[in-house]
Amino acid sequence: MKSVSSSSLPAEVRDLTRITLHIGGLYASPRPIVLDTVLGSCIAACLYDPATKMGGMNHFMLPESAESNDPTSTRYGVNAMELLINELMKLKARRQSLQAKIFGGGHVLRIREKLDGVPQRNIDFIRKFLELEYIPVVQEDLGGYQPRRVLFSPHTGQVFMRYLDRGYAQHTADEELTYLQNLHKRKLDGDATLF
Amino acid sequence: MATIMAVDDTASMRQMISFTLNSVGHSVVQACDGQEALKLAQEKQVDLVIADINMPKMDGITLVKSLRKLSDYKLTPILMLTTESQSTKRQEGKSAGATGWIVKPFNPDQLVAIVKKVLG
Repeated sequence: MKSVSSSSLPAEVRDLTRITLHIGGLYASPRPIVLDTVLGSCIAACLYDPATKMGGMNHFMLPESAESNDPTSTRYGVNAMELLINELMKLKARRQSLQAKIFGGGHVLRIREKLDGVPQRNIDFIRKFLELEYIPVVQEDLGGYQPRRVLFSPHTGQVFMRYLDRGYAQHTADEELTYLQNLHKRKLDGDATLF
Repeated sequence: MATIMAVDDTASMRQMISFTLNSVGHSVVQACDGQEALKLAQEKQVDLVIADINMPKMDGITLVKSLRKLSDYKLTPILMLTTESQSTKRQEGKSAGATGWIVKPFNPDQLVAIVKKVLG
């Protein structure tokens, strides 16, 4: 597996504690750290509250099979967003001042061939979700054909993004395909109990 | 068919709950936090309340406690639908007077089945 060396990080975040997020992950904090993720067709949403100077990032994707008129088909995406917003609210961030920076939804290699529509579905979902929640998008870099590496400093709201080469594209696409295949096997929905 | 109130601060969640329950014939009233839910509940009696926990203004646990104080809502089923899965939170919900606990993301078929069960 390829990794990006820390010497190639921007000077602003080079000395900060770095936390890597994989698919399904999320992290929110007011501390000076840097959140690091690599995206293929997945989406990373970085939410930041300038009033309390704290933010968080998630990394998610929607399963490919979906009836576009059934809103429950986007529930894993809604859940990823809700978990992040809840984490921020627990840290006392103000929901009404949250701003979003959104990245990903790239048509990378095998995802592009086998699961056409996944990246665009992810892009459509995040735009619609944020619009419904009145969370303004202040920066975005979506679509295209290359994977991305996104670094987010939750205490400043600053994002450093760059495109990665084909070697990463293959690795990222493999990781995403494995995740999608597991989504169908695993039961991701929550449990229910009556008292 | 029943009138059900969906209380959630996330608009997409309210849409998903409404879509799921509308599709089996229930009508759904939406509220975006506990405060609005409490107000709407007193204006119109509903048969079931499905409420989130983490919400601004008034959280779901406070909503359950407030509803249980109203004579019209002493016996109305109230289901919590939340991202919270810890047993301490569940216990809090149970003590407050909730009827059941569903962890998000919800499976639409499972939600329909539980709603049918609690409505009797």
